[in-house]
This record gives sequence, C-alpha cells and structure tokens, in this order.
Amino acid sequence: MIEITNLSKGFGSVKALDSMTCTIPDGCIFGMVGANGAGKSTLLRLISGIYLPDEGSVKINGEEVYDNPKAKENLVFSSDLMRLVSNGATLKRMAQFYASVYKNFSFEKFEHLAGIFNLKPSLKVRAMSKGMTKQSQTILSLACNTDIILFDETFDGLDPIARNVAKKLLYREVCDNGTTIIVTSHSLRELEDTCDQLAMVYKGKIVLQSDVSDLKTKLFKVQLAFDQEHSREDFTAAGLELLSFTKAGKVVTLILKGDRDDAEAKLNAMKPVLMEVLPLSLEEVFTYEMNVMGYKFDEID
Amino acid sequence: MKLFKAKASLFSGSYYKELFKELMVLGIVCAALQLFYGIMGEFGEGAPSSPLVLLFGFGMNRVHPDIFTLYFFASALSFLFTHVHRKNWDFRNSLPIAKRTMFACHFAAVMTWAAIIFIANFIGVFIGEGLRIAMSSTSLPDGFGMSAASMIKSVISGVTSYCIIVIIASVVNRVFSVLAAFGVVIGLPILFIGFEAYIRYRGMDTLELLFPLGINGLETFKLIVSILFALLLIVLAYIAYGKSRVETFQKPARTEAINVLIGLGVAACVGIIATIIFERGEFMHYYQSGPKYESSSWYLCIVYACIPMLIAYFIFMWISQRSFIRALKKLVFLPLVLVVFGAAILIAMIADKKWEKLDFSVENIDYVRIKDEHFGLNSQPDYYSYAFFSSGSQSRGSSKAFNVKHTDSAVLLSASTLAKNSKDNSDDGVSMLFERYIDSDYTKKIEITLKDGTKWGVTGNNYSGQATAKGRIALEDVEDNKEYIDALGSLDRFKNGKVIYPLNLGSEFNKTLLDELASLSSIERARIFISAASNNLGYHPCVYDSAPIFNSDEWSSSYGYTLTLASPTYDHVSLIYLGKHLPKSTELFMKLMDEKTRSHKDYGEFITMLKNASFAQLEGRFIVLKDGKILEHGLQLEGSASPVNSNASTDKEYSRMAGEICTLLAECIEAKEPIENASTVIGLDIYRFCKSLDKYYYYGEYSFEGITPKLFVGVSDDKAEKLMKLIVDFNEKYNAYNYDEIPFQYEFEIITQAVSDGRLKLYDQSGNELTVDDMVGMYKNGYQWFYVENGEQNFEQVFIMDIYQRLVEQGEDTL
Repeated sequence: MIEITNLSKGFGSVKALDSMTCTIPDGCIFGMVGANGAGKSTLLRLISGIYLPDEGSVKINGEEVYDNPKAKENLVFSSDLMRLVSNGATLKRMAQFYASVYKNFSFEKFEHLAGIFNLKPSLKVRAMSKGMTKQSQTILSLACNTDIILFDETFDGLDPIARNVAKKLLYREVCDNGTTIIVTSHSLRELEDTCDQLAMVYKGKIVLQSDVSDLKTKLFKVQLAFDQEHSREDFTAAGLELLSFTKAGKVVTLILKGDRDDAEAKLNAMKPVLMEVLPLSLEEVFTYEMNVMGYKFDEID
Repeated sequence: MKLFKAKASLFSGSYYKELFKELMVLGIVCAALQLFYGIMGEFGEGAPSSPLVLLFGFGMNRVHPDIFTLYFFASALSFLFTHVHRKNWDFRNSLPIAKRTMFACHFAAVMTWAAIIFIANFIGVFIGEGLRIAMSSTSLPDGFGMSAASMIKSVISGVTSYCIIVIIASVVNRVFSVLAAFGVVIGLPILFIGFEAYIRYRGMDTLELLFPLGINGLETFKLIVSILFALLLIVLAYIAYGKSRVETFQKPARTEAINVLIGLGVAACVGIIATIIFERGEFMHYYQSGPKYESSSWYLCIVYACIPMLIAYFIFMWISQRSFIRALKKLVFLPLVLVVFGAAILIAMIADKKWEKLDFSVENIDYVRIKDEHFGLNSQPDYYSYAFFSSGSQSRGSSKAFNVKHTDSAVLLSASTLAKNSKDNSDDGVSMLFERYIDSDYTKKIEITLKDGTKWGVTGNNYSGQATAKGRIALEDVEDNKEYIDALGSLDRFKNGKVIYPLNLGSEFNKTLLDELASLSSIERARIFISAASNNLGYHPCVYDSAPIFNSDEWSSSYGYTLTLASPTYDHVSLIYLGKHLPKSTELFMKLMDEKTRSHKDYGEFITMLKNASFAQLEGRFIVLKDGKILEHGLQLEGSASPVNSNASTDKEYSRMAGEICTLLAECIEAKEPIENASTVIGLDIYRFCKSLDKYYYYGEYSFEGITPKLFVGVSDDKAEKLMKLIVDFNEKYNAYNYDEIPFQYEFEIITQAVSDGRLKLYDQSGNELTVDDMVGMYKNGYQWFYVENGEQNFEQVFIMDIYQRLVEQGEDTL
C-alpha cells in the first residue's frame, strides 16, 4: 500500500503539490488524470523516490521511499524518456541492465512480451519510434516483476491495437500477480476503460478519488418530456440529487446522483410523457462532479 | 545527525558490471592508444629503423599521460551525462540503488578501466622493448620506471579531476556551468600561487617560498597532499552525489550563491591572466606585431584587468542564467572578486619579503642536488641507459642519484650564480612562465640547501643564449678562481670509473685517458670538461657556465668527438672532448672505433656497396685531421639504388661525382693505412646508411649506444686533398644552401647594411666581431642567430628577426 500524507513539493515559486493526502491500495490499476502541470508527474517522482518531499511523506508498505533502496526494490518507474544506457543500446541490452538492478527480472517474460508487441530484442533503442519506445518501456517494466509499476503517460499516443494489448497486459499483471499499477494521463479517455480507481489531480491536490464503477453507476443522465413545463425546484422538491438541469421547452435533461432505481421511481411519479436514461462517459462524470465541488474544470479534454 | 537517512550498500556488483560495460568503448580506445604509445615510445627520436617511426617522422614519448588525463576527464563527463543530466535523472534515480552506491560503482568501473589502460601501456613498453632490440634501434632509458611514475601521478590527478567534476555536477546543473566551474577549481589555485611569481619574475612560486622543503621535499609534500586531497575528494564526491537534488534543475546551480561563486571564480581567473598579459605587454607585442611595450606597473594592470574581468563575469552570468536582465542584476556581486585579488596580493607580498631575504651566496650554501639527473650535474638522460648496459647494475632509480650531495665549490658557485640570476634577472620571467607550467624539457630543477637547513628549488634553464649571457656576467673571472678550477678539474671522482659513452672501449682506453688527463694541469682539464659541456648546451642544463671558454678559439674548435666519463658510482659524469689536447687517447679512440666498425658483420656488404655507390643513401661526415687540426664536411649523397631522389638516376654528373667520392673513400678505407705515423688521417662518421628503401637502418649493431660507426685511416696528403676537393665541389653543387631560398632575406640585408655602415656590431660565439662576408658565409650555412654585445664584454645570442626588430625600433627599417 502506498500512503501519501500531506505531501507538498515546490519548485521555486511554483507549488507542484500542495498537502496532498491519498492512499493507493494494493492490487489495483490506479489512474491519475489532470491537466498538464497539475502535478501528476511530480507525484510519481515523489512516489518513486526521485524527489525529496518538501513536506509530508510517501511511504510504501510503511517505509519512506526517498533515498531508500529497500523501499524501491519493489517499484519500477517507467518514465517518459528512454535515454537509459548508451546510445547504441539494444532492447536486449536494456533488459540486461534492468536485470542487473531488479532481482526478479524475468528474461522469459521479457521475451514473451516482446513477442506480443512484435519487437525484436536486437532492435536499437535509438532507432525506435515513439510508440515503440513506449511499448519497450511497458515490456521492461512488466518484466521487472515488481509489486508496484508507475507509468507516466506511457499509453498516451499508442495506436489502438497496441493500447488494447497494453491494457490487457496490465489487467493480467494485476490479476496474476496482484501488482499495483499507477498510470497517469492528461486524458480521461485513455484511462476510462483501464483503471479500477481514478483520481483527479488539480493544482497539486487530489480533488476526487473513487472507484470507476461507483462513479459510473452513481451518476446518470435522464432525458424527460412532460406535457407541462417543470422547473429545477420541482425536481429537487421530489428528493432528487440534481447535478445539472437543462430545459428546452417541455424537454428536460437531468444529471442525477444516487441510486438509479430510486431516482427512476421518483421521476415516474412526476408522470413524464417520455423518459430515457442515458449512459455518461467518465469524462462527463468527472466534469459534473468537479462542478459540484466548485472547481472550474475546463482543462480536461 | 545521520548523513543519509536510509541504509544503502556501499557497492552493487551487478550495477558495477553494467557501468563497466558502459565505459567499454572509452576504455578500449584509451587502452589501445596507450598500448600503441607504449610500443612507439621505445623508439626515440632519430631511430629511423622502425617503419612506424618513419611514418610519423619523429620519436614519441613512452608515456602519454595526456591520454590518461583525457580518459578520466571523459569518464567524468560520462558520469555527468548518464547520472546527472536531467534527461537520465528519472531513470537512474528511480532504480533501487542509492545515489552514493551508483557513484561508488561508477568510480570502481572507471578505476578498473584505468588499471587496464595502465597494463596496456606496460604491455606496449614490453613489446616495444622487444621490437627495439630486434631492430637494434636507439633506446630510451628506464621505460618501465618512467611509465609507472608518470602514470601514477596521472592517476592521482585524473581521480582528482574526476571527483571535482562529480562534486561540481552534484551542485551545478548546466553542463556549461560545470565546465566553467571545473576550469575555475583547477585554474584559480595555479594562477593564485603563480601570480606574484609572474609579476616579479621570481625564480620560485609562492608555494615553494611558503614551504621551503627543497625539490624532493616539496615533491613528496605535493605527492602526499595530492594523494590525501584525492582521497578527500573521493569521499566528498560520494557524499555530494549522494546528497544531490534533481529538483533544482530549472536553476543554473543548486543555489544562486553557487552560481555567483563560479562567476566570481571565472572573473578572478580572467582578471589574473589579464593582469599578467597587460603587465608583460605581451598582448601588444604578439597581436600588433609592433615593438614590445614597456612593462607597466602591475598595480595599474589590476585596474586594467577589471574590464575583461567584468566582461567575463557578465558573459558567464548571461549564459548560465539565460537572461540578460538577470545577468545584469548579478553584477552587484562582482566587487567580491576584489577579495580574491586582495588575498593573492597579500600572500604574494609575504612570499616576496621572504624571497628578498634569501642569501644564495656560495658561503651560505651547504650542498646542491639536481633533480632528474642520473649522474649529477653534467649529463643527459640517455647516459643512464649506457651506464646500465655497461655496469649490468640493476639499481636504476633516479631518486638514488638525486640524493647525491654536490659540495664542490664549482657546483656551489654555479648554483649560487643560477639562484642569483633567477632572483635578479628579469629576463627570465616570460620563459619561466612556460617552463614552470608547461614542464618543458629545457629546464632542470636544482635544489639548494642553505646552511640553515632550508631547501630551495631553482630552475636551471638550458636555453643556451640566455645561459651564455648569464655566464658572462657571473663567471667571467672563472679561470682566476683556483678553487673552482681545482674542483672542476679534479680527477679523484673518476678513479676506477668508466667511459660510459661510447661503450666497451676497454680498460686500456680508460687507463690511457685517465693517465693523459692526469698529466694535464687542473685548468687544462677544466677547459676540456667545460668546452665539451658548453658545446652540448643544447642538451644540457646550464649549471656549469662555460662562457669564458667560448672566447678561446683554441678550445672551442677542438676535435669533435665527445666521450662521457663516469665515476664508479655514476654520481658524476663529465663530457670530454677528444683532440690535440689528448693525442694518445684520441689516437686510441680512433683505432678502437675503426676496429669495431670493421668487425661488424655488415662491414663487407657496406664496403662493397660504398665502392660501387650501389646503396640508396649515405649520410655522415668526412673528417680530415692534419697537424692536430680538423677539417670537416657533411656528406650526404645518394647511390644508384636510390629510388626516391631523381639526382642519382637522372643527373649523370651527380652520379659521376658521387661515384668518384665513394670509390675513392672505399679505396682509402680498404687500404687500411695505420694512423700512427700518417701525416693525414681521414675519418668517416656514418650517421645513416640506407641499403634500399625497404632497408633503412643505422649501420652498425652498436648503434643502440647512440654513437655512429666510425672508420679512421691514414692517407697521403694528396689523397686527402683530392677527396676533400671532390666532396667540397660536390657539396657546393648539390648540397649547399641556396642563399636565395633562405627565409628572412630582406631582414638579413637590412642587418648587413647596418653592419657594413658600422651602425651595428655582430659577433660569433667566440666573441669575434663579424664582417659582412663572415655573416654572409654563416648565413649561407644556415645560421640565423648572431651575438650582440649586451654591456661590456657580455654577449647575447639573438635571432635574426629580433636583430631586425631592434633596428626597426631605432627607426632603421629601410635599405
């Protein structure tokens, strides 16, 4: 388990993280989303012990991470750059390097994964495309067989097939080995169907953290048509937790939070001519939640 | 308080292996170069029997610490880019290895490759030795000893540089700033220590004056300090990198203060250098090609230096801050650099006072020792190997030789003169700057121990012109100094000694020589020793000043064969010129050398080729000895096998004349008339004999002794004259300098006109005034240096362009 307590980190006058507190449970895929500069990468660097916190702490299984090789033994950080060894290094050479520092590194797994991505181990890192580099990072990180893997925007920019392969590999990793995977992205769409848990990082704070399934089931959109006009207050008076209300004549669109069956019963009681429950994308869920919390959440695409 | 929060292992074997692999390319390249230089270093200059040396055209030093230094510097840069550069930081620092462990592993990998490079050099020297022996080439002395000593020093300085870069890189974030800071850390102490010595032309730098430990003492002190310093730096680098923080990467350095300090250091370096340049007037001299400006007050020069200092500081700040406005704001710290100047001046003043008080009179000198001298004062390094070969001794440490305490008054007087000149003669300034820091081969360090026990190192300069000028000032009455002459002419030190150059002349020759020397007076012996030494000024430290002897035609144009006589323990070596003053020894020498040459296995082949002029090339000299006088002519000709020169193949006259010379010479040699009763003796010194292009060698198996094969025969006067006329005619036609092609002709004509008009007087090395004809004759023979009178009876050797420059300064720049 990763415990982040009152974590602050600043760079000169810029406060990248501001008293952040969060707990990341074991054996999940934890997604972190936020605009550029929100503090996602800084958080990953603090979790992986690259940065020293200004305040607060990051603990993995109860141990401080910074400058602590023991705590970092079960953690691999797949950074967004790959100028790792020498310029002429091949993927295999990289694997050897990782194997020299990660005692659980599996060459068998490495070769298997390379085969899945159709990457030759003899391929030079310098000659790889951006997408191939990210695939290589994924392969190497997974082959390390650590308890925690940190992916910093690793899947952004992968082609759909490669992304799907990568996602499946992450699922398998979590299911088979109980690995904790933290993935960051500036795009919710990238994480929507990947993560178990999602956190929204905004101006150095986690403003929202929840199970993805909870988020999707607790928020829903309803489109209604009435034979007479209804105001917002009519719906709140009916006991509905209303996040959004839009009206076009006698047609009303609502975003509701809470138990779906209960809400549907209350709405049916208002005798609509037509009622349709529509699915919400995760992006919409986040937007409405943030609006409720008073954040202006325009940055996320 | 704990230095590091969490525990970490000091070393990671697997990570070390990876770093070893990362350094592989650099290590292999350096090891290969060191191996190559190790091999090549065995072939000294003038050993053309090696095709590789021929390819390069010159001998190479055995040890190339530059490669070693380069290796450590490149290793440090590799660490900088792989472990400190921001693009690699995330990767390296996310690994489960503590930063300090990474440093330890990298350092270990660097040292492993250093050891491999070290070994490669020794293998190279070993191979080179083998090749050299196989090729019978000229040797250099004590290859392994020299390699080890200089490479250990290189390792220490390399480790120091490496650690300094790591430390700097741990607190400075930009590569430019790292390199600038490295330059400051290395350069500022050197400039700081030498600052006042530059300004006042003092013979010793501040460090030597503050620590009067003598050369050996100071060297040992410096070595110990450098080892301790290197160890300290290793620990500091370990801590500094372990504590380094990537978070500050958006700034030029971890803190603003560090960047300002580097900027001030850069400014201080530039300021000190500018002060020296302005003070010396060298800048104007070199860059305006005009007359040398008079030196200015160095206090004033510090003021001048403020402008380049300010510019350097501002440029550094602009580049490191990446902002013009921020750089402007940082100018507020610039006055702090004056503190550095203040400290430099204060220490310099203390040192200067100490220097002024030193008394280097002969009476106050206890004894003298010479650094890097294998046999005392009057030797060159090659002699060491000759002694080794002849004695079979295995004790070949130069430090042992250094421990010889010279106490005879001749040496003390020389050392006293040298120290006083070093103290008083401002002309030494410029050359000392180069000598001290570029470690020129043209200097020797002389340690003078005063009666109070303090030891002082003085640089002896072997630049012959300067030395001669000095000698004329200090030793003009040397011949009246009986104590000096007795000490110098003493034969006691050579009892049971050996002639170590050339080798194997036998005990009979040694006895003949010593007996003959003993029969001479002290002053005659002193003259013989001094004249031989003075004619080798180009190769010897000018501790003995031989200037008075230059005035004597009788001695300076003595017969041109030099021997080296060593004491039994090799602690003293004297050069001896053979000639009419030592007739028996000279005659025996000729006989022995002739026999040696004739008994050589290639002699028959050589004489056949000489007779038919069927060789490729012959270089040497032809000597005619008559009535104790020597006539000498260069001999350079090509035979019919010459594949490179068109003369022999296309010019029939050339072939005829060369053939005639060779045939006649061979006839004389084959006739083998004894020299004892001959009225004329001819000699042949063979510098180089080339059978064909693919066989290019020194003739003679004992050429490794560094002495060329010689043949001597008696001939009739007619034959000698005929041969000489042929050679002179041949040389005039084919080998003489072409006057029109000699550089500086215009300048030379200006000079000759000034001499012709009586406005300028020039002298030869004996102090004889030259006529225009003399000058033209010398000039045609390639002389470009003449002597001018510098004060009463003091002569200074001046290059032709400098003579012209002086005339220009006097407004005489037209014909």
